[in-house]
Amino acid sequence: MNAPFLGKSGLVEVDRRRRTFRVNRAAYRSPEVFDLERKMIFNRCWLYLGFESEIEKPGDFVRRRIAGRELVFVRSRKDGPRAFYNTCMHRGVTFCREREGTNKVFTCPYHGWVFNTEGKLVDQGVAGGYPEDFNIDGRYNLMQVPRLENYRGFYFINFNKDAISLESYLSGAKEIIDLIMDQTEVGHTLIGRPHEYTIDANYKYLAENSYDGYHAPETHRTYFEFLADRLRASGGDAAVTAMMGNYQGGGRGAGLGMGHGYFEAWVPNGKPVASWIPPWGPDAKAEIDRIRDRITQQFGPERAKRICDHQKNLIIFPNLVINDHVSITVRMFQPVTVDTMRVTAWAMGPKDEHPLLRKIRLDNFLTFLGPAGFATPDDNEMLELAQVGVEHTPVEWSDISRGMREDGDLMTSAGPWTDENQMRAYWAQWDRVMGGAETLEAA
Amino acid sequence: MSAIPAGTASLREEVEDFLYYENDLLDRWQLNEWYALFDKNGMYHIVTPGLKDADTASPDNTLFLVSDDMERLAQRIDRLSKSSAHVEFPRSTTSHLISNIRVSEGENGEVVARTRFIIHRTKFDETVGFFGHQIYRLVRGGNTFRIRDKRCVLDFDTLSQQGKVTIIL
Repeated sequence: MNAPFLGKSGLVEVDRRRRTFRVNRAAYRSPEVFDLERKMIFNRCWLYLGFESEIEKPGDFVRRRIAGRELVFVRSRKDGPRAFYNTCMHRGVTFCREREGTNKVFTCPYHGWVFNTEGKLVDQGVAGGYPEDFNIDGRYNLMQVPRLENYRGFYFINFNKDAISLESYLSGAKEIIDLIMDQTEVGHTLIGRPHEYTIDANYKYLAENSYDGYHAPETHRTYFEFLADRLRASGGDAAVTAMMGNYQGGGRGAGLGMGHGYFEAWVPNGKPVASWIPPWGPDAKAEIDRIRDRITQQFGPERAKRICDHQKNLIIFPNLVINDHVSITVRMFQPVTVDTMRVTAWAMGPKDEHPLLRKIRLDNFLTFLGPAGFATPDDNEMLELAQVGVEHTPVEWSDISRGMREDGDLMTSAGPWTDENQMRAYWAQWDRVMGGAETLEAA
Repeated sequence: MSAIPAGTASLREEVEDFLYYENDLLDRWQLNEWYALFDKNGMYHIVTPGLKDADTASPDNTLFLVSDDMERLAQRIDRLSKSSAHVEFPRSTTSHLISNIRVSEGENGEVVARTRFIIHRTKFDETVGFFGHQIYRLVRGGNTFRIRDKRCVLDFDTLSQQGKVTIIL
């Protein structure tokens, strides 16, 4: 019963007796596997599209490419958010060329077909040449993506009309999203322009990296040295010792069902909502204390501690990160080829944030997280080195065994945050969906 | 920018000499010497590509790529000096070109210099280019200048070609 076995995809190997979990490197380097992922994963899973604050007013729209498909996410003037394929129903032109904006109608630049924000064809640019009932069955209205649903303002699409509901899909991840979104009563907004960049690595490497509590001391040594310098300046060596002690003790990583996973740990570098550190000064402390009191009153001390003092790194299978760290970060990563991904990373904060805390949030974000920060570039370098390594050697397997046990459900196993339970949960689901054992369709 | 008043050709030449020297230090990775060119209240900024109003936007209320005061700039340079700054190990090779330099008098005795730049970075046999414009706010210090603010604006939409900005622009 405890013999090693290959999962349905043939690319994940579980050996309970030896307590090893291995992934065949074809999963990172094979174009055939990549093509199969498009079909089995990206045509079946719920995929992040955008956040509610991006299309606040009727007519607001953003253009987005999701899983290789051109889409327009628009708040229609009559009935709320819609997701359309960005292609004219006449001859195929990508009618929406702006990145974002507010429109009454969308006009195709080729022959002038005009669609309203509900997608209805309202004009063909010229009079005559068409019968009156030309569009009587609506066949020339913009085509909608089959499913569009949201949870707490995060909008997802599904290319499979028969998919289970978004809420069922999100499974245990909902609880973590709640913890993050409960930071404010007035709603969140995305701040400014996101960081957009390419990483020359398979997209799953970024999923693994985003909730990897194991790599930080090595990959991010320079960041911890930077942090220690800052703390030492305001709180002496004792502050540094306390930080590292708190940082390494405690914390939890777990699978959340359906391939989602997270870790939660004490945050060493402060959070605007609401964990103050000395370098931010007394004015920030007063405001952060006020926020903390409100959250404590609303949710009680235990949940308030999780909301305020803990960082959460959450992965929604297959390609969304929501991190509640130095700032809330929404990071979507789109596979482009087997060895390239496009990343879009937004900073998120409460709509009514005090200017001082907003400044701290943004400052924190770019220090650690940006493609010009003190940490993210080193992560990206590791992912690119990993891609080179798997592509240019014949070695067959990679290892994701830290904290592996002889029993327990891989999809929901939990352990210290520096173990790899959360990644095994991702790969277990990947294996099931790729192998056809999980269709993600309603029964 | 207003028309260049008579007699500023020599000011422009002075500024050019200073900026050529500054960029040469960067290509030679003499980052401590480069740091010393800044005023004690100096700032170094890189605006997020594609941001509207990039010349005047503030990092206090919108997301930048880099917004370093002198303390953080010192830490950035310190980091780049270590082999554990993995992304710059082995260190990349850079080539900074600046051109189209125009100078004008700013507020409080500052000299404002606008340039256009093309910077290439090579690592592991791969070369990427960064291009755009810079706005320097300079103050006189002895017979040279000090940088009060260096703002780099990347004149493209995203870092889809470059991936990251790990060199000083």
